[in-house]
Amino acid sequence: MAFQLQPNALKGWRVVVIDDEPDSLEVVKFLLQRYGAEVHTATDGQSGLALINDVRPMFVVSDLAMPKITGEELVRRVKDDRVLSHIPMIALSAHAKKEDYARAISAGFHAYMVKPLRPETFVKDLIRLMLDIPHIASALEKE
Amino acid sequence: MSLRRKTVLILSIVLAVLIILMILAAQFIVFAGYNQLEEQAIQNELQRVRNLLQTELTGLQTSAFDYSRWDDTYDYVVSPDPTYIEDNYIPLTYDDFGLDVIFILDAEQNVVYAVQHQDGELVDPPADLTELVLNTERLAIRRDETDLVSGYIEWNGRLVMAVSTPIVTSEGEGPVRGAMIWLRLIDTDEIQRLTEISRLTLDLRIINSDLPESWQQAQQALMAGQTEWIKPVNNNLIAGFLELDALESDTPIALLRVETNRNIHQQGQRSLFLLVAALVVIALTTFLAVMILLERLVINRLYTLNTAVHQIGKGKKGVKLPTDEPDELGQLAKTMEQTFAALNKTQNELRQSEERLRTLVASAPVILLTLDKDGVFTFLQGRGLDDIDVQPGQYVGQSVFDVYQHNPAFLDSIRRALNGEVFNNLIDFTDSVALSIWYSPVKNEQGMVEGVICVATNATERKQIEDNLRAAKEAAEAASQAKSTFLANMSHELRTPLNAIIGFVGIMLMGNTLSEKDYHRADRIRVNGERLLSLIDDILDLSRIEAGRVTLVPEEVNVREEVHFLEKRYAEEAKEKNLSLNVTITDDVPEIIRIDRDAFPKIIDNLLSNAIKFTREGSVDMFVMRSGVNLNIIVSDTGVGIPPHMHQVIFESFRQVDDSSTREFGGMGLGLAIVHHLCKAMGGTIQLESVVNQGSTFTVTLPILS
Repeated sequence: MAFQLQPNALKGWRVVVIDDEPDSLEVVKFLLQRYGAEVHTATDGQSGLALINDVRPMFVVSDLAMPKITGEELVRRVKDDRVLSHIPMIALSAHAKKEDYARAISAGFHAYMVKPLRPETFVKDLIRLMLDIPHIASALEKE
Repeated sequence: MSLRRKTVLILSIVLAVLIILMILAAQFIVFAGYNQLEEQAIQNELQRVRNLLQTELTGLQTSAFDYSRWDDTYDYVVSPDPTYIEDNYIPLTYDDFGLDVIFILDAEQNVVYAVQHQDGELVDPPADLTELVLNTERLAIRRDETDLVSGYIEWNGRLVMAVSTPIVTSEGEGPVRGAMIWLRLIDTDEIQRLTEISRLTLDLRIINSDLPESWQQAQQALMAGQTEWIKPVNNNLIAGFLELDALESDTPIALLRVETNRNIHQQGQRSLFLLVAALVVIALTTFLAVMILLERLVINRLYTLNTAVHQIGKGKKGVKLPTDEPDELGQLAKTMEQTFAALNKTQNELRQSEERLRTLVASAPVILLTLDKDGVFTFLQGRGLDDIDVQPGQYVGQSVFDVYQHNPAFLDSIRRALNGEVFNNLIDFTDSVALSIWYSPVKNEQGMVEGVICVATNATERKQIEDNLRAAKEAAEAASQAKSTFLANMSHELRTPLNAIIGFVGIMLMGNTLSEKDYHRADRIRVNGERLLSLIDDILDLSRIEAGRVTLVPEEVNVREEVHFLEKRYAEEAKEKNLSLNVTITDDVPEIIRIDRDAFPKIIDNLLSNAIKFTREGSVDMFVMRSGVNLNIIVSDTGVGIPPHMHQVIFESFRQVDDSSTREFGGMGLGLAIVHHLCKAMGGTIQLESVVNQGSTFTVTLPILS
């Protein structure tokens, strides 16, 4: 509630966003960029995984229902990779049922957000969900 | 064996034994008695003969003594006087005394006189006889006046009766001057004479080696010490033997045989014969009498009775039992008649009862069957059999496990029943017929299963209905599942474009590039986008609640915090509509309550959202308070109100007071339905009081403070 995010709080952060919906990608990318993040996007799981390998982002926002590799398969592969496994993965999906939520968390996502996102609070909500991760929290404190 | 034959046999045996016993008794007692009598009789005869002989001897001796005790004789011995002889010893004298020879001896045993009387002539006795007499001391020498002797001697193979008396004076005084010796030859004539006197057949034999066999036997027996020997000659004659002792040596010299008729013996035989004959006659008479009585009194009547009973047994009507005689058999017939009557009555009742039962079973629209413990049909009846094309009794004697081996469901049920279970189930018997069958084991006194009774009714229609119901239920479930899937997909598909709409509008509103008018328009897009989102959420919630997929999990929830959070959210909206929103939580409401984390705010959210939505002016008031174990949430507004006929339907999905209100107030009316469902799921209620155009009050009561 009391959490506030500075306008350049995510400056220098590399973030990967993966979604097969270009509109969604554009909105998320815009909102993250407003806080200074360096946003890399992919439209399917497979290229998303390659991008994560290339970019080594601070965190990943990923859709679930995607072609080639689904969000769940993606998170499993990331968590199985010793180099990438520390990267927080946040699910952003139009699936609103509790079962979907539970399945995503058990697959390895750190948190789950339901579409449609609320532009005014999206980034704040996103970051707040990751405050329990030490390197995210300490990275925020440096600013 | 028939009664008659048995009686004949038993009676014959009894009578035969009786007769034999009586014959034996007669033989040994009566006949033996007769024989004893006979023996006594012959003994008496023998004694008589003995006495006769003795009498002869004594007579001879007495006569001789008369002559020897006589002075003339006394004198004659010393001075023989021929006159004495001529006067006294004439042939007549011999005849009178039956004498054959007379010797007169003097004291020195000199023969004074010796004469033999032979064929009427007096002659000298044979020399050997004289010699024999002189040599026989007992005859020749007389010692004193009383020395008398008599006895038998043998002479030349002939028996001679001999007496010797002392010659004394007429006064009987001595001295003895000699011996008077008289001899009588026991010849055939003499025997004949004795026979006539005694009226017995007599015979005499000197004992020598020429004796016939029976005489020898007699001699041996008598020598052994018996006084007489008796032996039957034949059935008519019996003989007794006596010994005659020699004068000199007391040894037997002759045997006398006495023969007589066996009158007593024959009398005994006759008596025995008569006795036996009488016994046989009595036995036969008894036998006949018993048989005739048995025939008349028992067997004939038993036969009649038997014939009558037999006819009755064969089912002949109107047979009369012989009940006239007032004896035991008559009584028996009477008793049987009564028994038959009673039996007949019972049988008739039983037959009627059986007939009724048979008709009942045969015409009842069921199937009744019984099996023994091995599953063999013992009964199979009922009109219901028509339905499965089985004849009544068709499988009796066959095993159900053979007949219905193609119907494992039925056989499993039979096995369960044979294990003692009582139950009912539906079994398909043919393609078109299903039976509802009750199974009930039949148990004996020890509780062991002895068989099974099954009652089956045609349940084809019921099964059809049940199948249809099941199909309908499955279809409904499938439809429900399809609806849920559809709603979930719809939610997903709506959210994706809505994400773009809300996202881009948000971005537009963030920039400062829009004119005031455009900003307002963009904001309307945002508001309507959010309303659409809320609708989607409601639809999803309701579908999940209605599908029963919502499980409420009570957790510790800070109720005050939740209420204040929502109050803040709706305060702005109320302010925009110029409404006053007043929320009051009374102090008796605990801060922490165990309640589902999602359901509780959803109830308050919907109630507040509705109240604000349907109120144009005035106020919305909310009270949260405690009432015993209940938590009460009361939300009042000064809105449009709800007419009474709508008070129930208002809680159903997609219902509003009227279509126009949908247009005016927006929304599809899912909120109250959700609240209603959640209240119910928590065991609570929701009540409504409302006056049209004045306002409504919703009261939620949740029993969660126990």
